[in-house]
Amino acid sequence: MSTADGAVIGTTKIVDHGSPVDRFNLVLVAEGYRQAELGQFATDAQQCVNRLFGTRPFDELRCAINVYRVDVSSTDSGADDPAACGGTGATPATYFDASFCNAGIQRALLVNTTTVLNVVNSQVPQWHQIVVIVNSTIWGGAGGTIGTTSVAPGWEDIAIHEMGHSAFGLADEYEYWAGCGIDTDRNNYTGGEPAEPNVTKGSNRATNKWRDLVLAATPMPTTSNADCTKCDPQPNPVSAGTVGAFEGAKYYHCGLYRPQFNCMMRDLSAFCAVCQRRIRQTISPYLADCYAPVFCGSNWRLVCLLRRIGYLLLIVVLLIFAWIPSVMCLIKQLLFRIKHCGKGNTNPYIGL
Amino acid sequence: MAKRDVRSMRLVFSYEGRDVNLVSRQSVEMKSPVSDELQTREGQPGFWYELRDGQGRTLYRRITQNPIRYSAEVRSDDRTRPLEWQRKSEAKGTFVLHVPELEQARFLLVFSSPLEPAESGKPATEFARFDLQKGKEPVR
Repeated sequence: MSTADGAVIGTTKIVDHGSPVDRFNLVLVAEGYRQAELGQFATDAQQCVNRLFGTRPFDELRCAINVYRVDVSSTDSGADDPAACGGTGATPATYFDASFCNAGIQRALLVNTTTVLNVVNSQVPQWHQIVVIVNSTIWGGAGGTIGTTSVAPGWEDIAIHEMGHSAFGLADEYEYWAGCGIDTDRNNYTGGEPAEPNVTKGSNRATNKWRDLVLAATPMPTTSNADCTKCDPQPNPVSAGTVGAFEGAKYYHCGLYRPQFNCMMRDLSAFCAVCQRRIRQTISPYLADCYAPVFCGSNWRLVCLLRRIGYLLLIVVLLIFAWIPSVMCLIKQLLFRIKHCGKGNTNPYIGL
Repeated sequence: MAKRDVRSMRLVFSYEGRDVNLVSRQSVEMKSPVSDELQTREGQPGFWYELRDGQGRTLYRRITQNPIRYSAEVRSDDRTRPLEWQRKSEAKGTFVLHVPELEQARFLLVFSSPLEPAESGKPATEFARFDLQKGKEPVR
């Protein structure tokens, strides 16, 4: 149940959009995968990446993000599943000592964060978000900058939802805490205006937090809960994707509003427009203003040599105008061509 | 090619109940998340952290979900309501904050609403303050 129960095999940059100094760096770490199962971890990590970049707005921000896969082998598969929470009582020997049933919650899946930090700090020092993928199909996970998730069906969406909290500061948009019909203290919100960008007390068109996204024809509030002792059962009365003020959010049946009827932060559907805006604001600074050129390499050393000389002469001339951003970008692209003359480049997403 | 100066501080904290300790501080060549608006948030609920200079001016602020929790968000069995919260039997753990490495920054302040889930709508107050030019102990 410790680092003696496995080994750090290595790190692969599975999405390379440039230097980690400039990009947002997501690190996926293997836990509870035996050496022979690391191929499955590679598949799971790729599945996570596919889901992330298939989710708006990450699809349009992909150039700002690097993703690393840290292969760590364990002696055994899975995670501890204590009988105290109704589990099997299994205690596999794994590198990060993953376990369900933390703080009395069966689905709270935690790992040794000190060990995770030690490994990731040395493998990818510039990390922004860590997701430890635990090789178990039992539901479980935990949010945070060092998040964990098992690989139960739909795990990728939950990992993205949790990143919504930890990386982007988004609030939950659902109107219950323990569950609809269970909560007794979630009827009316009486607190102040929440700090998070995607929930508000204000349904007034003139002062609403996201009023710039609300069309004039959209009623405000867009929905009201007729019975604040319960979750609102009404279906969406407006067309899908409409931005307005829908009552019921951040664990309260009434008194707090969300921007759209559905959202990743409510029910794991697509991010609402307000959440998308927050994600764009956070990730856009990691976009490069200059990208590597796509070109064919040459196996002929003489061709490369001549190209390099030509590029260098051009760079010398361009240096006079290097204060112009587009010229500086051109110089960077020429330097990139010089460096990669032999093998060329097929990746248009490498920021310079 | 010379890189722009984009250093950040990675601050690792441990917590147990309301006790928060700075476990480690690491300077890393990377970009921190952009700052949220710096205007006062007095009276507002939520969780955020700030860098302030020696004169008390806010230099950087980032709103995020409270990582110090008496509860955990977990998958529910209801497909239409896939997530729910459950109360933890203990509140302890580790969290990490990234902040830009600013020359003028003297203090890191953490603001939080009360940790009890039912009190999350109450105004955030200063939860912990760390002097970045001194040790790892909270100033108060």
